[in-house]
Amino acid sequence: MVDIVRRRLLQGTALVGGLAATRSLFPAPAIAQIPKGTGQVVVYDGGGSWGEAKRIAYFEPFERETGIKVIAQPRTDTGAARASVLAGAPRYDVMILPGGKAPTFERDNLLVPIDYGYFDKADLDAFSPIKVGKFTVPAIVYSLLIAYDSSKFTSNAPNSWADVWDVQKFPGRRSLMAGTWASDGGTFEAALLADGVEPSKLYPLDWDRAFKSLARIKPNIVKWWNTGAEAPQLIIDKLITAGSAWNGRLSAANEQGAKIGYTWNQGMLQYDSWVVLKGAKNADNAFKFLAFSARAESQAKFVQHILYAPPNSRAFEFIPPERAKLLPTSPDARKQQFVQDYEFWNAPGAGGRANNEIAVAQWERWLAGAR
Amino acid sequence: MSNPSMTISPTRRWPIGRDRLAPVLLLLPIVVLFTFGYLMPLTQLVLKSLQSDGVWSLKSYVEIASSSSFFWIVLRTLTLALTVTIICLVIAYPLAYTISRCSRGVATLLLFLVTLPYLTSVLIRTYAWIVLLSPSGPINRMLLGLGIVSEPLQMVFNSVGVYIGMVQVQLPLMVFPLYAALTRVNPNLTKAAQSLGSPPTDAFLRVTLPASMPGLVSGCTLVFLSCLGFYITPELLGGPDDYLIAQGISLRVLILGNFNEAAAQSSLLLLAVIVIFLVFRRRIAEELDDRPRSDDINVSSALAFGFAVSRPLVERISTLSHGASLHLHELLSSIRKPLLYGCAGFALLLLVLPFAVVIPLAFSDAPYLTFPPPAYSLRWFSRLFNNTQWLDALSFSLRWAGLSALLSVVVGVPAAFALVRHRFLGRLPIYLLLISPLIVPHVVMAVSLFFALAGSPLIGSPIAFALSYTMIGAPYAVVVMIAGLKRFDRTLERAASSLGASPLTTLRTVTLPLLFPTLASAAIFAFIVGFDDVVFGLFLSGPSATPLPMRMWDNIRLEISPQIAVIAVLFLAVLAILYLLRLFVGAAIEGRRTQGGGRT
Repeated sequence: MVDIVRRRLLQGTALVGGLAATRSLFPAPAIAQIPKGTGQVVVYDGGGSWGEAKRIAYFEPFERETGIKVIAQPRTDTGAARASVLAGAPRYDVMILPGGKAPTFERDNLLVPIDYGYFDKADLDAFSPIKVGKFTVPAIVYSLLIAYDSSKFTSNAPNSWADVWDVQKFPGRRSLMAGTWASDGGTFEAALLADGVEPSKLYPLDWDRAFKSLARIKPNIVKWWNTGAEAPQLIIDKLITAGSAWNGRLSAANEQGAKIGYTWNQGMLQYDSWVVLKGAKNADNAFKFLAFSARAESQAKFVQHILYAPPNSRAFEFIPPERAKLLPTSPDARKQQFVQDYEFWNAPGAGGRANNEIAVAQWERWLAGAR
Repeated sequence: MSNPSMTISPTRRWPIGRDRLAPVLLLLPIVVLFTFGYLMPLTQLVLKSLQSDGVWSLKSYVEIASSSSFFWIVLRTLTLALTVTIICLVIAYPLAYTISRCSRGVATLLLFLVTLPYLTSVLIRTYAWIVLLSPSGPINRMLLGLGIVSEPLQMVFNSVGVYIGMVQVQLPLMVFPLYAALTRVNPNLTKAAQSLGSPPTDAFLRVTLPASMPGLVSGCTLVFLSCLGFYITPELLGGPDDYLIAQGISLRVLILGNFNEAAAQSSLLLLAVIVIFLVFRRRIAEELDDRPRSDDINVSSALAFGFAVSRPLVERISTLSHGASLHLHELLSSIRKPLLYGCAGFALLLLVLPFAVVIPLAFSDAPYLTFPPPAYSLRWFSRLFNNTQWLDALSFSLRWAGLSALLSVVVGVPAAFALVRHRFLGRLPIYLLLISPLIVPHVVMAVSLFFALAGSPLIGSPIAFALSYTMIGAPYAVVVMIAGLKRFDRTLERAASSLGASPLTTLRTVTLPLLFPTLASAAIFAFIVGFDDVVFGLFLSGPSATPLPMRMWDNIRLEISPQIAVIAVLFLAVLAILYLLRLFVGAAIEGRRTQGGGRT
């Protein structure tokens, strides 16, 4: 399936690709060479179209340039990754953490400070608006959107979370990310927006109101999705007509021939960061890999395969404007969305636990019928 | 094998002197293995649940008790397990009964059809159900085509899907013990009852049903217990409300990293399982029963049991049926056979249906999942063989599940010899210990190993997998071998030794060759259990250890493509080859000797 996409993409972007190729034939002297290395680096894969984009834009070119073998490991959930670090045998050298979860890893001393020695200064300075941190290198900027079956809703499509909740106006079943993922899935934010809360007044989240709103949609939920690829798949399989999904997965599915509609309206901007796990056996290779993936050219190539925005703003120099237009950070898309408040999610709430943990406990109780 | 030659103590029933050592030596390897790989981690798990921030505390339990959600989740899990058990019993009984009344050849074939799904990965079967039950799937299309429904039925991602999937997964566990019990019922007894004027239904209630009670109880116990820790099927087929204990535990470990509470919930689940297990230990340990397996004696003992327990019930039912008009009896006896075969056929259909989907799907030419495939090609095969990730995972699984199968046989077979051929103190407890991994939820075992190995370089290493696969494979080796040994005719050994063969020679030339098919079955079972495992993979995999089912799990969750079907077909092909090999070897040995080895 992906091969077709790649082929089609290559055809579609032949011109641009050609331009990019001439550039890369004569690399600007500004690009710092990453010294060749030996051994391997174990990198979080993420799977599906996202994993595929990483393989083409980062893993394979990095292997060719440095001779360091990239071992792409299937995704593991954050608790297991945490445990593997505590066990002294981290599952990855380089992992990707959602912006809402990285701070707790930092707090619990599970990460290695990034050595920026291999990074190109120009790239490093170009990270905007999210800067690189002591432990984190922003990896992708993306959006959690309202997605719908565009073959079902042709003229009049859901345009707000309230529309998604309205199964009279937009018949069919629904799916949202499981609340066990707390901040990752934006399900609580979506529930409040559907209930009429203004995006600017979302935080701090009103849990009771969110669950009341979720109770209204629950009878129409087919299942709570757990991985990014699941949501578009549910629409493709005609199991749902509308729900939440990440923009990159949606456009990747559409490039493969799916007919999924989406709107930027009331979309939620999020970001993920690269981190190096404490105890990583190939930390030096990991820093080299991060330097490679931070390059504007690498990130531009990544964007050709999945529409997750590059955190390195210089990458836009290499991205054709018609593709940049489709990114969640494009000016037009940007103004319709709001930014998820990671500070709220990591702040301690009742009982001293972080809101991320509180959300999961409440979700479980709610599902068990005890809330 | 420590010293198998010692097992050949020809006629002595009770070991004296040097022979007292034999069972100890035979059991030593497996007991040592279980102590380190199973008992110690579980003990550690319980201890961990009693700690908080490094000091003794009941905090985790208080937390569980203070929130009512755990109670509701447990209740939901129990209800599900009970319902699945009842459905399985209702579906499995006619099938087991039919098989037990078939000629040997047909019975072998039917048993193979029951075993096949049992040996096929739960992941593969669950995947097939997603295809079968989806709104655009074959079942819905058939119903729509026949005009039975006007809208596609919602059967997947809700409780219906979970029930169908779980019943299919658990059905063989119910059929096996029922069949074993029913074959022991002498059909002449039923005929005798009928010839004495008892109507067929009455004869069934008075003779067959009580006689099959032991199988019924042990089947129900097995199914119920293994439902409690179920993870894969509810997770993949379930809807917004299907949230069970195993999911709660893995959520705590995998996502939240709340390890103490995970340990506490696992301990509670473990405790519940152990209690039920001990209550029904006699039924479960049925295989160890020493009484000679002559039909009549057994039926009478089974009858004795059945009547002792359920006499009032049987009496009441039969009075009721006596009280009913004769017409009802006539009606019942005329539709009895078609009804029976209909039910048995339905059960078989349920068992093999997933394969009817998976096989054509593997040859699909479509880039996405659609059934029936619009065109056929080998594209998904070539995709698999061009993907090093899949191939690495495949070779990892083959290698380590293979090694564990070997290990399981090496430690399991001597243990079976000790349990069958020796009488010693603690025989029943040891047997129960050795088969308990069949019943203790894998989530609990995996979590306990995960904690036990944490901090050691073993986590995320192939060794951890070899260890855990052996832990779940060895019980199968023990059970299969015990069954084989019990059917083994020892006069052949005695003949050999009376002709002057040393015990070692007897073992090499008589016992082992005769038991070869049983050994092969034991190895196949142990291999497949490891090869299929998902749950240990979730907790123990790492950069240098990613088994095939983990890739499949990822694939099913990320995009439902025909890729899994290809693996299923390859798996079935390997299984068929193994099975044919075993049949062939078995036939060769049976040809050589009149008395065959264990048919399992």
